[in-house]
Amino acid sequence: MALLGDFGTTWTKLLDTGTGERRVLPTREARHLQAEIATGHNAHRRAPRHVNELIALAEGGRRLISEPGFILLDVGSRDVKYVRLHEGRLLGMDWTTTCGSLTGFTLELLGRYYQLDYDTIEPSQKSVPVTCGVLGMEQLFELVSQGVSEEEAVARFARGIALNAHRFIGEPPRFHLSGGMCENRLFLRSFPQQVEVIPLGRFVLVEGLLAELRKP
Amino acid sequence: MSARKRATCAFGARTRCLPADGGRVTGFVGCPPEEELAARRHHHLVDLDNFLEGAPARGESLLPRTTCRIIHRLLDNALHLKPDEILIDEGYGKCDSARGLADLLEDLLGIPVIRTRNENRAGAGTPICDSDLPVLRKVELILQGLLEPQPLELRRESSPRAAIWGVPAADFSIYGLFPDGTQILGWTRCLENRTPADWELEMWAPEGRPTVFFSQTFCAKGIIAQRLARKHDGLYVDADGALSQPVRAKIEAFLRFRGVTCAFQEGSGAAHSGPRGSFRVRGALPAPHAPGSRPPPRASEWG
Repeated sequence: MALLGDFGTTWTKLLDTGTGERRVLPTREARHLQAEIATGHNAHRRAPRHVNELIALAEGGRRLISEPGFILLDVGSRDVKYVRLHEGRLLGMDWTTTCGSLTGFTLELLGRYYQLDYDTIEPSQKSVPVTCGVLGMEQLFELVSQGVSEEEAVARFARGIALNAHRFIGEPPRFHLSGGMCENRLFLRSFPQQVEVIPLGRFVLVEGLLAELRKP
Repeated sequence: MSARKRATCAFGARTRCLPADGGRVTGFVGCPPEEELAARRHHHLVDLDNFLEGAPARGESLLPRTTCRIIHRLLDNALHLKPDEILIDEGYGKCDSARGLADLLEDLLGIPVIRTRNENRAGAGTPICDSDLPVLRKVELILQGLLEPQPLELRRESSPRAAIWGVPAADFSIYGLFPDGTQILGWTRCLENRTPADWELEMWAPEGRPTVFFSQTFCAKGIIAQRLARKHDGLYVDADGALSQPVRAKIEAFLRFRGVTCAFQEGSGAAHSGPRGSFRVRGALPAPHAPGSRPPPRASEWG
C-alpha cells in the first residue's frame, strides 16, 4: 500500500493504492501529507521519491491510452505541457511555464469571481490573446469595460487559452487532455470545431506514478 | 580591499584565485590562440567566461535584454575584476556579441583589449570529451586546460550512452543530468581540441546516440542546435542562466525514454543542485601524465 500524489500548484491529487481511493484537495490543505512517490510543482517537499511531470505524464498516458501513438496535453493551473509518443517512444514534448502560464488558475479564479457556471456558458468564436494568464486577464477586463458580457469575455478568454494550447502541440486534429481543465466544459468546447479532444481527467500524472511504483 | 584581491575561483577549474601580489592580471574571452595564452601564463590569467564569485550583475543596465547570459557574465566579471588587459578571440569561433562587448569594455575600462583570431586547425585531440568521466568533470578539465595545460591519463568511454552538444553552460548543473561517460560535442569539443573555429567538428554528432543539443537563450547557436536536434532526432533545449525545472524535466524524460539510465535516482536530489557548483563529483583529478608514458590519444586515433 502506498500513497501517490500529484502535488500541483493549487490542487493535489492523491491515490491510495491500498484502498484505491482517489482524492482531490487544495494544495494548501496538503501541507501535512507525505506520499511515497510524488510529482508536481510541490513534489520535492512531499515525498522522498519524486518523478518529474513530463515523465509522469508520459507514463500515465501509456497506462491510460491503448492507441500506439498519441499526443497528450496537460493544462495545469500554472503551466502547459505535452508529450507525443509512438510505440512507447517519446517523439516530442514541451513544457512552458512562461507563455501560457497561470492560464488554468486564472480561468478558475475568474469563474469564482464572476460566479460563472462553466457548464452553461456557450463557447465564443472570438478569442482574446492569452499570452499568459495575467496579460489575458487585462484583455478580458478591457472587454468587460467596453460592455461585453462577463460570460462572453470569459468565453473569449477560454478560447484564447484553447487556441494557444492547440498551437503549442502542433495543431493536431485529435489529442488527449489531462488535468483539471478536463472538468471545464467551456474549455473543452473552445478548441477549433473539427478538433477531437479526449479528456482523461485529473489523475493522469498519478497513474504515471503507478508505473514508478513497480520499479525497484 | 580591491575587487581584484577579493576575486575568488568559483568552480576551481577555470578561474584561478588571484593572489594579492599586485601581479599583472589578464582576462581572456573565448579560446584565444595558444601562443597568446602561453605568453601570458606568468600573469594571473582569468577566464572571464566563467563564473566569478562576487561579481555584481551590472550588465542589465548596459546590455540589451536579449543578450545571452555568458555575455552578461563576461561584462560583469570584467567590470568587477578590472584586469590590466583583456585578450579576446574574436575570430570565426566567437560571436558578434563578444566582438561588440570587446568595444564596450574598451570604452568602459580604458584598458588594452587585445583582439586575436584563433583559426587553428591543428587538433589537440578530444580525449576528455570522449573519456568515461562524469560530464561535469570533463567540462572542468577542459576549462582548466586553458589555464594550465597538463597531460592527463584518461580512459576512453567505449560506448557512450548519450551525448551533450553545445558551449559550456552558464549553469553547470545541467551536466549532472547525464550518465558518466556522456560524450561532449559541439563547441565545447572544439574548445578541448583548441580549434574554436572548426565548423565541421562543431557540427559533428554521431548517428543514433541520444543527444541533447544545448544553447544559451539568445545565443545564435540556438538555430544550429535546433536544426541539429531535428536532424539527429535529439532534444533541443535552451536556458537563460539557471536551468529551469521544465528544462531539467525535458532532459530527464528524453534520456529515460531513449533508454538511458543515469547513476542518480530520481528524487535523490543529485541532479537538482544549484547553478553554481554545488555538485557531487565522483573521483579526483586524473594523475598528471607521467614522463615516458603514452600521451593521451588525439581525436584522429579515436576515429
